[in-house]
Amino acid sequence: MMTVLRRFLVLGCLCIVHTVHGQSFDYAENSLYILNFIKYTDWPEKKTHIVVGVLGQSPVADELQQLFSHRRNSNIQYSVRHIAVGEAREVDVVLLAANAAGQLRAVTQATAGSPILIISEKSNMCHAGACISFFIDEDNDFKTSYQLSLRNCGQRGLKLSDEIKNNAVLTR
Amino acid sequence: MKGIIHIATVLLLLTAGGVYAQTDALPDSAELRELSLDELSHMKSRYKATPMEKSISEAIEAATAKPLNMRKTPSVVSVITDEDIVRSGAKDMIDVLRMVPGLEFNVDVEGVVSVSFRGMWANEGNIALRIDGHEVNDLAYASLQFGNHYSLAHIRRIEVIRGPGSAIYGGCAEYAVISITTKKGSEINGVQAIATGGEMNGTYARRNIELLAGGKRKALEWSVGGMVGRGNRSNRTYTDVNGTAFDMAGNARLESDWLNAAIQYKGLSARLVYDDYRTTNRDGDYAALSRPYPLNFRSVMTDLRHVRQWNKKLQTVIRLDKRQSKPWIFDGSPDPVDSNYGTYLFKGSRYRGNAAIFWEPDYRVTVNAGLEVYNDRALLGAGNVFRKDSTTSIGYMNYAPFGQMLIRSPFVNFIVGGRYDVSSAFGSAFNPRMGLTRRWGIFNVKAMYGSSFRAPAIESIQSAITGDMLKPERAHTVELEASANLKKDMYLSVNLFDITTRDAIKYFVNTDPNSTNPFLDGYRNTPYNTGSRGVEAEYKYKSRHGSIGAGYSFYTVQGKGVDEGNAVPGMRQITLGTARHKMSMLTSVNITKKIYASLSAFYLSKRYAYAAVDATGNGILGELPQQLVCNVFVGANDLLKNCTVGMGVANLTDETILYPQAYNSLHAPLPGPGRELYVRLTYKISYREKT
Repeated sequence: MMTVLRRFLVLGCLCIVHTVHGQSFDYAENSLYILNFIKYTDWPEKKTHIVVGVLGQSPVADELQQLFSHRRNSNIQYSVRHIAVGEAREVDVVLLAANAAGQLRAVTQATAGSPILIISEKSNMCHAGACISFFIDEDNDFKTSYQLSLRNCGQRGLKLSDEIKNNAVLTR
Repeated sequence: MKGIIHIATVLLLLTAGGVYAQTDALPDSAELRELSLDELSHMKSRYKATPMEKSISEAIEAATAKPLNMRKTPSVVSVITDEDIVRSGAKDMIDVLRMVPGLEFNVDVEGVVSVSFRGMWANEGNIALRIDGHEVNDLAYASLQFGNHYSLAHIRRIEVIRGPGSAIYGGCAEYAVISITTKKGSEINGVQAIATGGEMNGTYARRNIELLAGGKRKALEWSVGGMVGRGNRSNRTYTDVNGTAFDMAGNARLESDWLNAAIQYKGLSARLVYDDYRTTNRDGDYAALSRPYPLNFRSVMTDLRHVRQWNKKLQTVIRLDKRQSKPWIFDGSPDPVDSNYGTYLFKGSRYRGNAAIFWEPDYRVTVNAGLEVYNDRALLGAGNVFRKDSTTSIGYMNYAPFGQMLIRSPFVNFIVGGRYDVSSAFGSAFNPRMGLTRRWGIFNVKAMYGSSFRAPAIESIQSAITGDMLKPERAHTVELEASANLKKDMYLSVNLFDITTRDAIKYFVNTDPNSTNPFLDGYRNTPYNTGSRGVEAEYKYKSRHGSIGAGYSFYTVQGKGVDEGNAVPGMRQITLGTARHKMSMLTSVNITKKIYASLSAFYLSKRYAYAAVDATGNGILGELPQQLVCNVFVGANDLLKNCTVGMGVANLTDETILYPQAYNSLHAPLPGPGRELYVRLTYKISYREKT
């Protein structure tokens, strides 16, 4: 009997092969979301140039670059660049890549009270200070969705339009 | 055994590589770049979920008032879909449920085969079998009957809650809930006829015809599923404890006429379920009978349901249903030689009303609360009277307020709830439940506690051996589950359970010659705690190449009490008639686009049962060897226009399948089917889609 069990366990181990995985975003879609977040956010001072700082490594940086390049005729100029935590105050939007989620606390502290929209690629980060946190909604055909913290936005003096609120999963 | 393991290894290795689904990139078009947030949010998902991801993200409806997906739902759940059933080549509900860890089949008496779970005989009200919300446990004993019963073709999905369910479903869901949902009209969308024929050596196993029809036109949706089934339990020889033997072929018939019809218009729906299950048996209670006697079970269930969505946050559901049940019926006269086989005419009915609200004050909180009231009535015919009340008719009332709250936070999902049953039959029972679920990337953990109960059924109440009121049987279950979505097409879950049962209701034969109790047999509450603990695991792989499902379960009763009626003398870890180790596997491989082949197997470790008596009439314990049963099935979809064909061999090695009795009532193990060659033909005409 034990032999049979051992073999079953070995089989089980064989099944747990190679790599583990997580669901991945469509970064082009995420970049469109980010552009819309910017469009529907009111900063305390009117902006003519919005700078998105990407903290960590994310394909969304290239997607944003490409997207912004198509918007040269717009009244607002958009640009994207990679940043370190210390540079977070110099941009209008901070996008935390999933691999930089651990730096969120440092970013929120460094930018406390500043009108900077903090967006996290990792889910469930609003409780740690993010204004918007992307997630893949398993209960809705794996659609890209986002959590929104009105409190975190309010503390930064950011006003969000109903378009953002209506499509968000609101959290504290 | 070695062969099977090797085949499984090869198949697993072949498929374990898997194929990652790719996400489509958005087209680089100006139109898409101009999408508003509203349009983006309502755009179809760009993520191409794998079949496994879709499978585990489907909402589990039976475990909570608000359906949650497999990883979030605070229960240990096994899900079997219609596709799993078809591809496995299952012919019978026994084939389907054998794949569920912890579930086993045992004989009760008079040829009735039912379930034990996690080492505990669970036939009489310990497990609720629900079909489209109707509990089909009979009203006399709350028992279940398996074997060529219930239409498989009509089933869309089976959810088996491997754990307590009383906080939602009340007194029949102590250890588990088997919840069957049938196909909606829109899912059938046409007419289907399914013919299944199976032959064993010496007799036929089944000759079943199933018919499905259904459709949807605007807000009106309707479906009808029916089955006419004729079968034989076995082609083996049954030998009772006294050594009397007879051939099961022709003596253990299983005939089922089944109808399940539903209609829905907007929020209003109605359903009718007709279940006429007719069997014959010669095995009787313990001594073989001189000829086969009919034993019939007939139920008619109807319900009316109204769902109203008042606004985004508030929904109300009102449900009224009626169940009529005539179980264990033998209305003929036994031959004088079979004097211990009596006429029995029981007619029970249950009228039930359930009103509930679902309130979601915000996205983190869901509240469900309501009240269920039901009235049980029963009549005994043929000159019999209910033993305790010495009357031919009785009635009981049950009131059960219930509530449940689900809180979703970034850290954990938390559920707390309970149901308080107050009955004129057995007093009261409060059943709280609590559960936590937490996800870390691909990993998921659940911790659950549930109190549950078995409400004594009408005949148990009336046959209490002491003449006193039977107390409800109470179970306290602690479960822990860890699961991982190992790859996009692979899912593994492992769970631990610990069940403690208090006041277990047990059938008891009074053999004490000094007893002053006037009753020879009856039901009583076990005066000490019983229970079991163990581990279960499920593995699933699903891709375009095919699928693999494997299950393992282990239980022990060491450290837990065992009722003397279920104990194996001299053994402290095992109960009568059940296997401590159980394994099951289903592998299905797509050979071409239309043709697939499936191999399924289940293994039971050795069991113990009484198969004979000594000269003084005391049972002689026997050891049943470990059992491995393999089945193969080849199916071809749309081989001819609208026609699907399948052919299989069940019990490939002609293993002696035995259903031992899981309690000591001196019924010898009942043989199951031998090798069976079977064919399944499906013909479908679909309604044309309106363009």
